[in-house]
Amino acid sequence: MPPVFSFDTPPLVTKSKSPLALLFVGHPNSGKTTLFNQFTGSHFKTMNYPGSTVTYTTSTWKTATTSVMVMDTPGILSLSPHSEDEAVTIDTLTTLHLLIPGHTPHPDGLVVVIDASQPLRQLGLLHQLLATGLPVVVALTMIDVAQKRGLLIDWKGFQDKIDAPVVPINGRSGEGVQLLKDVCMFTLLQKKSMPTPSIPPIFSQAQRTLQFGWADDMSQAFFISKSPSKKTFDLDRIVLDPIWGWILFLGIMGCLFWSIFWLTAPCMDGIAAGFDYVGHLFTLICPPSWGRRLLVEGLLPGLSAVAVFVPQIACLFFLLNLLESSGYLARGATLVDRPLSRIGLNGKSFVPLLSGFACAIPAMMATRTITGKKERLLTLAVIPLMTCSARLPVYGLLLSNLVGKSHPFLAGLGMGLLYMGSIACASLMALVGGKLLQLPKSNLGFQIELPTWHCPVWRHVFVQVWHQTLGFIKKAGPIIVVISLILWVLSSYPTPASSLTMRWGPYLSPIVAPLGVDWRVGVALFLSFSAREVFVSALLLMGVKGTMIGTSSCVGLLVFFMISMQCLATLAIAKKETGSWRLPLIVSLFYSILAYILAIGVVQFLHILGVS
Amino acid sequence: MNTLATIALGETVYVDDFQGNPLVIDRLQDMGFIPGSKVSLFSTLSGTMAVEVRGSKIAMRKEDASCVLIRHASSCD
Repeated sequence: MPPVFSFDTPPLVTKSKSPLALLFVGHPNSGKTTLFNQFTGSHFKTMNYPGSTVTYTTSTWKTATTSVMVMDTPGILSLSPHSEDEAVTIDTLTTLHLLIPGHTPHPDGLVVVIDASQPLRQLGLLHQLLATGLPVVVALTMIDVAQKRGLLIDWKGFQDKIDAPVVPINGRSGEGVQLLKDVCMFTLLQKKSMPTPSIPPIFSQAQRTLQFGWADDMSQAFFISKSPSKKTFDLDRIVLDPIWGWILFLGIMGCLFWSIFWLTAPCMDGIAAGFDYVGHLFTLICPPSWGRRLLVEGLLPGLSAVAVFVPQIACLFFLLNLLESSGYLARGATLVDRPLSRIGLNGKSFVPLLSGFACAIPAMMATRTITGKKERLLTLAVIPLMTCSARLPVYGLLLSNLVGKSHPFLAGLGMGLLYMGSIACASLMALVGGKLLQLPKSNLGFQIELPTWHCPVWRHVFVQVWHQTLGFIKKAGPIIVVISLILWVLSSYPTPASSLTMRWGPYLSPIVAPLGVDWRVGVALFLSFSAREVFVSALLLMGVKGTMIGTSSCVGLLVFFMISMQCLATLAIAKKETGSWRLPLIVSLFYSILAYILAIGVVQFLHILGVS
Repeated sequence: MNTLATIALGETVYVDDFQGNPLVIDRLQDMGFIPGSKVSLFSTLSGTMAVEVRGSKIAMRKEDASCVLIRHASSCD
């Protein structure tokens, strides 16, 4: 059967002035984003970084007669928001005209996503949404889990009772999605002039008692417990055990970082060798010309610097996605809440900090789930200290210098020390920052839902990894290529001997001399403030071999890169998340100056000890 | 009066009322802690604990749990 409707991702083209807006609303972990992806058939605009959907996502659904803007929103527990991401959802419900100019303040229809295995808790939200008067279509997800728990779902009876269409969805097979589309289109088209929806800003205890009482009644009538759920072994008995839980936690984190290095090493060597080979090939085939030099000395090393650490990033994204989709991350957050609260953070800081080991940008966006303002700002401030993937090529180069290629164990140990160092630094900074930040201590506590354990849907995991990795290449790639080209031009014209870098570079000497390195390393350091990984390709371009940097300077540079804030993209995101340039600039300057002073200290100390 | 923070591992109780921080109470009510809701404790760590309420699992700080006043038997029993 041919599809009834077809989807297109933006650009949004509509004939009518204002497109219809269809909103996906539901609890966190209700399977909303998965359903949204199946509904729109695209993963392109979905930002499902570990943690949750923290911003709304749109996709345009075009048919012959009409155009519908389909929006995925962050999960909410009720219509009174508790955190930044939840406030986004309330905004899409009440002030949509600010997000889509020309639209009415309210959406034209809601798809309320309900996890069918948890009716007792999630139907309370449905009660609130039905009361708004907005047209509602209910999508029941996780039908398979509900059936496994012995629930018999009378969705037709439920549909008659609430007087709104109900569509059961099988998330794994996608069964029911087409029906949902048809039902949504029908609901949107037959929409009558509706009364202005009413959304109370806050619910009283009595109202909530009423809502959950309704949820109890509905569950009893239409989500019938056929057989008492089988008493299976509960994984949480181990995962949240005061002793075994920690052993498992440390084991999982250890494996996570261990596999990033050891699994991906052959891949990375292969890619580096491949780029070298292509370079040699061009040198052999092409006659000497400026074009060849541009390619072999400028473009290829730049591209290689990005490509080499793609395996590590993909591996990290893969493992984080795996942990997320299994449901472990919420358990991890529960375990570390106590230690994190000691340094002024929160268990909810765990997922953003962990994502910070991949890249600070998604990590900063993930902080929106943190309810307390002070805790959120502190988490944002220490995220740049996490050992992000852009540091890895720099660490790789300096460590292989330090211990030589023949000691992979020592290099691994060094890497471990750097990770520990960054965590220690972040803890210290959080403590100091907490004292300096003139904000009252947040008293929202820590509450988190522990989602049902799931076997990951491999297809979803791989699709996510693919898009996240591609996103990283698209973000980092162009910057590095452009900077490599600029650097190549600066260092080759008019002639390599009288080029701009040759003339101006030596002025950097006094600044980097205390680190025990010459001005060419200084130029590379200077350029690495745009993005850390540029350092490696810049050194290559300037003809600095790793062996030309002394032992003490290597250690000093490692310390520098561990702390210094060198990423323009992170700075821009931090500005967006905090709402001003002030805090991001102060923190960046502080980290960079601190890194410089500490690096000099380390180098000079090692000199005194007699290390070259 | 007993609070949720004081119950023993494996014990099942019912939510009765709330006390203390209104922001935390608001959040807990949204999560399904409503007078009459059945709660059972299945894990206790240092500082945090995890309970089952309304068919799902919720973890929270013990100081948050002390906002929930409990009774040991459902009023219907």
